[in-house]
Amino acid sequence: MRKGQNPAKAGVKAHQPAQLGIATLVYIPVLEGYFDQSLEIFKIHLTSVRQNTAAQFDYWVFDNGSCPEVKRELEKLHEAGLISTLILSEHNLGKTGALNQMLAAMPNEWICFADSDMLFRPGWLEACWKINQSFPNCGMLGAQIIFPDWEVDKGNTQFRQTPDARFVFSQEKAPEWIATEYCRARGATEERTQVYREMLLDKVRSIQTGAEAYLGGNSHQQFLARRDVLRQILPLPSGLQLSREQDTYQDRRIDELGYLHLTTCVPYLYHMGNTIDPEIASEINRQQAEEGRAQGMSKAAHKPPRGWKQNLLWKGLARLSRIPWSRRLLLRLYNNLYEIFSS
Amino acid sequence: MRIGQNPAKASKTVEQAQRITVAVLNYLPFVSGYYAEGMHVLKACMATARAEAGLPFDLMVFDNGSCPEVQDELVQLHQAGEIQFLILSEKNLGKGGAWNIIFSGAPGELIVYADSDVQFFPGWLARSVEILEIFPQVGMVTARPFRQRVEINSYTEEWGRTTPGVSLEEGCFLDWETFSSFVFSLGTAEEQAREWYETSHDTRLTYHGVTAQIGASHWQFLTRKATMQAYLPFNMDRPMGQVRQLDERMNADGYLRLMLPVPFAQNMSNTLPAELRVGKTALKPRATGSFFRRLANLSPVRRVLLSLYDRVFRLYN
Repeated sequence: MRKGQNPAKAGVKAHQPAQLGIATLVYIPVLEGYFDQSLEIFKIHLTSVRQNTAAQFDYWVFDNGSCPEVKRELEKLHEAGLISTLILSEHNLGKTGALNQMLAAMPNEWICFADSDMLFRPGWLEACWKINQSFPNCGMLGAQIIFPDWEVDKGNTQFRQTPDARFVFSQEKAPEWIATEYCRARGATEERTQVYREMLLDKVRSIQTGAEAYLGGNSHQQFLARRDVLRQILPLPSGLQLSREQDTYQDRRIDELGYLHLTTCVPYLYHMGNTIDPEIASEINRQQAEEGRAQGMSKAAHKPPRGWKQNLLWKGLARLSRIPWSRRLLLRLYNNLYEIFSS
Repeated sequence: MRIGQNPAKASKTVEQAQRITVAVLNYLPFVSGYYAEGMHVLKACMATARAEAGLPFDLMVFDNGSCPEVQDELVQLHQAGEIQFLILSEKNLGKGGAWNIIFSGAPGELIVYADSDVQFFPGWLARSVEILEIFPQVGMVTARPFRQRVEINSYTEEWGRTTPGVSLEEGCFLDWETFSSFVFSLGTAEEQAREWYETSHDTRLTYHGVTAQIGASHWQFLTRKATMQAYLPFNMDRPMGQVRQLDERMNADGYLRLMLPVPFAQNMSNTLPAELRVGKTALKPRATGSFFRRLANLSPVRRVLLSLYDRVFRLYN
C-alpha cells in the first residue's frame, strides 16, 4: 500500500526536450575483429558531435544488442550526462528495425540521425539550417556530399523541373580532395575513385540567399529532418541486420512524398569506418583535446600496428589462408563465431 | 576508414519484436524515504508480469531519470535477459513525456502500459487480450475491476445498453475484500472506503460469452498502438498529473473502456506486499540459446573463440 505522498506530485516541472535531437545506433557485438576499434570510434563520434553542434540538443543512443562490455560503457557515458536517452535492446533488430523504434520515439522537432562512425566537423548544423531556409519543402538535409551510385536514390524529381526563377541549377565536378577523401574513407577502389572524380553532381543555388546545395540522396549515414516528415516514412522495412536496399527506402519515400533531399557542398562529416585513418588522426586529436579530459572520455587515437603480424606462426597462417579450401573453412568459422557472439 | 566487410551485412535474419510490448514506467530519484522499497516493488512488478502471463511479450522499461544505483540495477536486469528494451532517460520528462516516447516507440502492435508498482497475477495478459479482441472498438483494458466515476465511462455504458447481443448488469459484484484491497492500496481510510462501497455499484457487460466490468484506468491498461497514436503527444509540463485526460478523451471519442471482472492486477504503491517479501521476487535469468551457444559464452571459452575470430579477421583484412 501507499505510505506517504509521492514527492513527484508536488508540481515540479518536467524536463522539456530540446528542439534538436541527435541520434545514433551502436552495434558492437564483440570487441575483436571488424569491431576492434568500434567503441573508440563511437566515442570520437560523440566528442565530435558535442564539439561541433552549435545548438542545444538531446543525444539519443540505441544500442542494438551489443556485447555487455559496450553496454556498460554506454551506461557510464549516460551517467556522465553525455547521452540524454539510452535505449538498450536485448537483440539486434536490424538497422531499420532500430530506427523504427528510435525515430518514432524521439520527441524533438528536428531529428538528426548519424551512424556511430561519422565524425562531425565545425559548421555542419549552420550549413544545414541555411539550406533549409533557402529552399522550399526540405525533407532531408545531409551534411556531406554523396556521390550517388543508385539512380533511384537521387530524389528531388519534381524540384529539378521547377520553373521558379529563384533557383539556378547546374552541374559540376566536386573538388578533387573531396572525392579522394570520400573514397579513402569508404575503402573504394582506385577505379571507383576515378569515376567519382569525373562524376558531375547536380547543384542548386538560391539567388535570394546565395546558398548552394547538391541534390542528393543516400541518406543512410546521416540526415537531418523534421520529426513530422520522418513520421510519414515510418515504419521502414526491417527484415535484415544491415541492408543497402532497406536503408535507401527512406530516400525513395522522401522523393515520392515530394520533399527535397539536399546536401551541403562541403563535407562536414567524415566516415571513419572501423579504423582511424592516419590522415584524420590530427583532426581527431585536436577535437579530443578541445573536449578536455574532464569529461572522462578516453582519448582515442589510432593504435600502433601490432607486432604479432611479424612472427613466423602468423606468416605461416597467412600463407595457409590463401589456399581456397582453407579460406572457405576459415571464413565459415569466422561467420559462425560472429553468429554466436552477435545474438 | 572501413577495413573489411561489416559482418552484419552477411547476416540473413534479424530478431523480430513480439506482438505485445509490456511497458513499465519507473522513477526512483533516490532509494530512501518514500522510495525506500521502490526497487523491490519494480522487481516484483516485472517478475509477476512475466510469471504465467499466458502470452509472450517483450518487456520494455522506461526509466525516467532515476538515480545511478537504480539505473545500474536495471542495466544488470537487462543484461540478464529480463528486460528486452531498457530506455534510460537522463532527466525526468514527466509521465506525459515518457508516454510520448513509450507509445510512439514500443514495437508491439499491442501495448500494455503499467506503472512500476503494479502486481500481476497468472493469466493476466491472456485474459486482457481476450477482452480487447472480443469486444469491438476497445480503447483500454485494465486487468482488475474497481469502481470509478461514471462520467468517464458513459460511452461504454451507453454502448452496452443499446447494442444488440450485449447483456448489461448492474449491482454489487465486487466483494468487500476485492473492493477494499484496491482502495486501501491507495492509502484510503477504512471509513471512507466503506462509504464508497455502500454508495456505488458495479456495471458489467457480457458479449459473445465474455464478461468485462465497465471502466479502465491510466495506471495499467492494454491498448492497441494504432489507437494511441491519436492521443499523442501528451502534455509534458509536469512530472505527474497530466495523463488522466486519456480516460476522458477515450470515452469522448467512443472507445470502450473495460476491466477484467476479477483481479489480475493489484496496486502495490510504494511498499512490497507481505507475500512477496520472502524471496519470491528474485528474478531468474532465462536460459537462452542452445547448449553450444551457452558453452561458447562461458568466459574462458568465449575468450579463446573471440581470439580466434580476431585472428581470422586479420588474416583477410
